[in-house]
Amino acid sequence: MNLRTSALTLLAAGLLLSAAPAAASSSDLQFMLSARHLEWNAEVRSRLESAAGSKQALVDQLIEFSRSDDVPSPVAMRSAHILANEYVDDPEVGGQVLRAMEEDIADPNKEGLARLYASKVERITDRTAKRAVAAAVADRGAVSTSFKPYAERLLNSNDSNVRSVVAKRLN
Amino acid sequence: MVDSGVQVDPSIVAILGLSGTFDFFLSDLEVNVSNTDSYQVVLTRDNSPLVTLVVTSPGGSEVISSASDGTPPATGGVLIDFHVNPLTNPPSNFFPSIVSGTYNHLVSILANPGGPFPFDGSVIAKNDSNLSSGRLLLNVYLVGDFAQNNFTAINTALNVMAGIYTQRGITVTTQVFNVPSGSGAIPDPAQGDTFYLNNLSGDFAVHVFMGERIDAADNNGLLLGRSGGAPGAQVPTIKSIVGIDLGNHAGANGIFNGNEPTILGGTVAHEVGHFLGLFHPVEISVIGATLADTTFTLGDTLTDTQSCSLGSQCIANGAVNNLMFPLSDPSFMQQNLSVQQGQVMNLQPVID
Repeated sequence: MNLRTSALTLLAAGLLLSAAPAAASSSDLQFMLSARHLEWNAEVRSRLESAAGSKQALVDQLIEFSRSDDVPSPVAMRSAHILANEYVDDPEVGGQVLRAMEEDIADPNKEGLARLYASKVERITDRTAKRAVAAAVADRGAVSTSFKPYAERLLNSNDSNVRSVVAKRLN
Repeated sequence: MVDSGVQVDPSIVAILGLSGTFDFFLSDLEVNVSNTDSYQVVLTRDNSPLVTLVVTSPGGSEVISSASDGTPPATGGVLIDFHVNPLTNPPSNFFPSIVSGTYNHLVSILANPGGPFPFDGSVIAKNDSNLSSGRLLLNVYLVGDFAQNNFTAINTALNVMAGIYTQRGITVTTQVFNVPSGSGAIPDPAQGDTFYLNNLSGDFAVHVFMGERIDAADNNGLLLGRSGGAPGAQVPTIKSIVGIDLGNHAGANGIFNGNEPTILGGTVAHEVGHFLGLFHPVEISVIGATLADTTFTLGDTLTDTQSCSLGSQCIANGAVNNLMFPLSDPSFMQQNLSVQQGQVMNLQPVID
């Protein structure tokens, strides 16, 4: 057998984040969300917050992006993903994020956001927020034929509270 | 010691099944070729990390090596991967042309020592010396109602993608299939899934699955698209696909409008480019506040893709306009493919 000692090369794909700027404008954050393959980890979160100036400033910006027609759709939707993944459970900014999510789920012109947020219910850990998002999804499903299937999926939730609130409002 | 061998003599493209048992975690696989301009070896073993460490030519020269191939390498075949290890030889025109004879692939199955290690796979060989043009069959699978209801926008995107590939002489023919799905979500292409294997057509094609979402545990919904490999396996496996997240392209209103189909077309073209063996011309090193401030490291091993270490250079020399640039910015065209990128794609057996 032709044995050789060969170094095994691992491709470190992703963003190496360091040397954060003091603050960044909205266009800078938009750029940071434009990577073809945007990896996500605690370091990326920290980097985005640093670039925005604070956690609060980042959340404000992400909400604006998610609702904006002036940023590319992947930036808008990635902003919404990050809000739901990272900040709706946050004790400092969670209330603001939850209100934004509820508004967007109810907005007839934001069905894409509503579908995205419906897909996030299972991962929300804060019980109050989880129930509130589930209720908002069910309410939209009750009045929107196109959205109803997304609400009905929550009838199979692992969380009995989610199943209950959705069943009560959807029917 | 020879653990397995195959004989390939294609008229145009030949695909041979491969199976056997390695008796050690490092083993030699012999590939005997004639009348072949390029070939891809695909090794599969469930739940095992696999990697090709060294490919040696019939004359005994080391032609591809994980140790010397750089980061990123010319082929993903020298990177550790799970379940599936595809390697196309040659990865680009900078590697020696294929000659008739026996190539040796030193393969490692990183599992519990002691073996035996049964494996499956295929060798796909191509006899087509014309690397300046080719035909690509693109099978597109619309998974779930959302994908199927947005066919018009998707068709526009596929035309954008086909236009990009035309500049390198690659003619794309598309077939569309509907795949029922309750949620419209598709599994992570990088992890692979039997869902893909069960729905693949029997065609010799690049298979693109489009769903409303990609469920990737490592990415929490942020993916735009992902290839099952670079290059991808060109015979059916759980990872022989490109996955596209439609929801992230349709925007807040959930309806494709404006430039969204064009952006989607760019994503499809970029990810299929990975599947056909392309890497990013540069990789992001440290992302700055703006593109101009962002630093980059060397990416692919090609000499005619523009390189740059600072974003301002990438803008000035046009690197940012390459299809495989690692940042997606609609303010740039990002549709350029270099001659050598075209050659890399044309070396893949799936392009005839």
